Amino acid sequence: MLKRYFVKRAWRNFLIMIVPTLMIFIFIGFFFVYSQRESLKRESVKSLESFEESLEASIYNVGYQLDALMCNSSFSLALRTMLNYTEMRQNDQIAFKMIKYFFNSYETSYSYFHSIYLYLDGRERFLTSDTGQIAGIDTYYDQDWLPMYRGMKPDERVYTNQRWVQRYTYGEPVELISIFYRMTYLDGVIVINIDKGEYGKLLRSILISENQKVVLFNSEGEVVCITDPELEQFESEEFTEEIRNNILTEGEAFKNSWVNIKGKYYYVDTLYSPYLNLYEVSMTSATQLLEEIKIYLLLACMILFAEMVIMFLLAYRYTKRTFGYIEECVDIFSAAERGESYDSHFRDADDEYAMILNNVIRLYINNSQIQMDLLAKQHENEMTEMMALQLQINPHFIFNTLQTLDFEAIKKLGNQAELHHMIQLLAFVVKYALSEPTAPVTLSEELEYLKSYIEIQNIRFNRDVITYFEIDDEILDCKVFRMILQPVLENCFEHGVDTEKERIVVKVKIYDRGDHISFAVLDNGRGVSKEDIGEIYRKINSRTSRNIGLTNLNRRLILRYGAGYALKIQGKEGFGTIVSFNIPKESDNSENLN
Amino acid sequence: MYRLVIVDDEQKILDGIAELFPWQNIGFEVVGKFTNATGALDFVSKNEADVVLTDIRMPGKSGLDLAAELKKIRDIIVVILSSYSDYEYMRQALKSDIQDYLLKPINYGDLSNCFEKIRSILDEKNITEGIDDTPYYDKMLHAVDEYIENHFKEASLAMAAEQIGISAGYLSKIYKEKRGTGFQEQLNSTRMKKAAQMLVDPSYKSYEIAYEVGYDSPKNFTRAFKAHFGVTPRDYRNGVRVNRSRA
Repeated sequence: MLKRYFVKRAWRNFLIMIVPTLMIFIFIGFFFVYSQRESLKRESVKSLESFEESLEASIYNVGYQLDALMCNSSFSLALRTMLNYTEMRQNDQIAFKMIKYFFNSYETSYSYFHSIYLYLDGRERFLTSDTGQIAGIDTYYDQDWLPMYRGMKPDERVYTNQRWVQRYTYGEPVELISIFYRMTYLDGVIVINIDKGEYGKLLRSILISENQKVVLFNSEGEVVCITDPELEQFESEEFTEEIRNNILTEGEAFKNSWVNIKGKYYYVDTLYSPYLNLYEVSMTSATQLLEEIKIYLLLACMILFAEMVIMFLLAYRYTKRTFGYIEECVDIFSAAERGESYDSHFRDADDEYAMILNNVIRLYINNSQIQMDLLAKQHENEMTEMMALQLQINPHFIFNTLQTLDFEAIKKLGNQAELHHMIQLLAFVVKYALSEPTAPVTLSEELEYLKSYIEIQNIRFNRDVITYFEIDDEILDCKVFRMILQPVLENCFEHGVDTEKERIVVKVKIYDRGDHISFAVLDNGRGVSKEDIGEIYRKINSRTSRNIGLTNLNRRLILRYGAGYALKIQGKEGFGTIVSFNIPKESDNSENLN
Repeated sequence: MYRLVIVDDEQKILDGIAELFPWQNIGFEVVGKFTNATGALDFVSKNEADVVLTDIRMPGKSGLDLAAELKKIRDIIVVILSSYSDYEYMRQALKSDIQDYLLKPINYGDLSNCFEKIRSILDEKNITEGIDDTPYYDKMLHAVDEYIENHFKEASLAMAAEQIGISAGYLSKIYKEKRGTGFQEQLNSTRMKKAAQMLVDPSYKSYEIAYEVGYDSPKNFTRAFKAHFGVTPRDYRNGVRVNRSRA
């Protein structure tokens, strides 16, 4: 039973100990996730800003420089002359060369430049950096840029789009990003074509985090470029559609927020570049965040596990200590019950609870000892009364009378008479009963007395009560107190006998149980009901009860050996009764040796 | 025959002791009985006597006083009769060179044992002629056998001895001498025969049989039965027999 409580208590203590730790872990976990998210956002915004700067620096500057060049009248006149099929003069020739020079320098310094076109409205020819010559709109391999330029809104200064070009039918098509840059002082356009493949590489290198991708949308909400090729596959139509709508209706791509695209979380963050008329949508995957959270969880679980082990050990130790106290208390109580010295059992009070506990125990023990003393006193009084009774009736009178009776019986009936036999038995019984009550006897002496007593009872009631004995021979010399069994048998004869049963069998079992001797008297008489047993217990434990038989025996057992040695009564109505008790083994020999 | 003087202040007890015990059987004859110490002292000083059996508590001179004075007259054996084990008296009795003491009411076994001992002491002093009277013993032992046959349930050596009026020790000795088997052996044998008869009748329970043939412990009965027949009572009832040539 103690074990079950132990497990229960240990478990509870463990839970109490683990709760604060768990709370701390949960709190830190939340804080960690929050701060990670925030830093992810911050990084993403910062990264996007620097991205924009690079973007503008790499593309816009070229357009700006060329535009500025065209503001110069000699350049603009030269361009106009060139595109008008007019003969170029000396000055124009120089300007033309200068422009070509510019083209060359761009193409050589930026690997991602594909080509630059200069075109004036209404002309049929344009200047291309690709060949460094004037080309005809209708004859040039790249033709679809012009409709795009013409589709530009009049108030739009810059327009960006992507398209495919194929110079030769057998060549690989090249994907281009074209930036249409309306000239400030001329009615014309500067078209900057960028090799998307090359440029993508550059853009990717700008981004800080691997998990960040940027999608560029033009003013019509079309996807111009994606930094990560993988993203093109994932590209959620719904999401891009949503952004397109946003751009067309509100002029803003998206609010900075978390979105879930196909089960993956992204932090979406946008910037609008007015110079390029582009919307940059950055998408930072939460994968890294999740990874970090995973690592945190793993670490937390490991620490938690280690802590749980420690907590468990602590809980175990703590509970064990508590149970140690309880066991001590039990020991002290049982030592006190046995009447042994219990002072040595007391633990030094090392905390206030132990001190209080010790005091309570002492108080209780003193109290129960007072009760025991009272009981002992009462018993002593009864013994004194008995002695007084013995003194009042002169034993000489009794035995001389018995002697006379015996002789009369022999004289009249002969020495085989039952009467003679009975007187002899009675004399033995009375002699035994009148002896010093506290003088110890051996079990075999007690049994001899008991057999005489049973024989008298059998003759008296003319009943054939079979009493038989099952006794371990080894304990016959053990010490018992006088008339230890007689009250039980008396009880059998007086209360147990059922007149309807033809034969009553009483079994007396006395067994060696190591350091104990167990006594049990069983009869198959009329038995006892549950209520009867309760009543008997009440009577034999009552301090005021004067019933001399079982009460006296019970009292003597408790006084001599402790409360654990009290009488036990079992039985069933109509079947019989068992009265049993144990006593510690006291060998007669041990004393002789001493 | 040795001469015995009995002293007790109660007339009826005095007569009872003198008349109801078969003194002759154990070799004594009552030559005087007195209700006070003075009479006994007077008698012993004038007549021959070997043993005085006296009550301890008497009006006037007590039994112990009497013993002390008797010792002054002659070297005579004194046995004290006490009704109750009284330690103070016992202590004095031991001092006064008392041969033995008996408790009232007198148990025949104790008395015969006590006087058996006294007789052997006296026999040593005056080497007497051993009279061998076989017919007398035969008659006595026959009575013992009959007693065993009829009272096997409650029979004991002490009671058998009481019946024929000799001491238990003496009976045991002569029974073994004349019959070849001991008294207890004979009794056991009779009990076993009866038990075997009863076992054949299934209406008896085993412990009832044990009780009927004088055993109060079924364990002991089983042990004795097995020793006698070589099989347990249960096996015997089930028809198992062992042929044993008993030595």
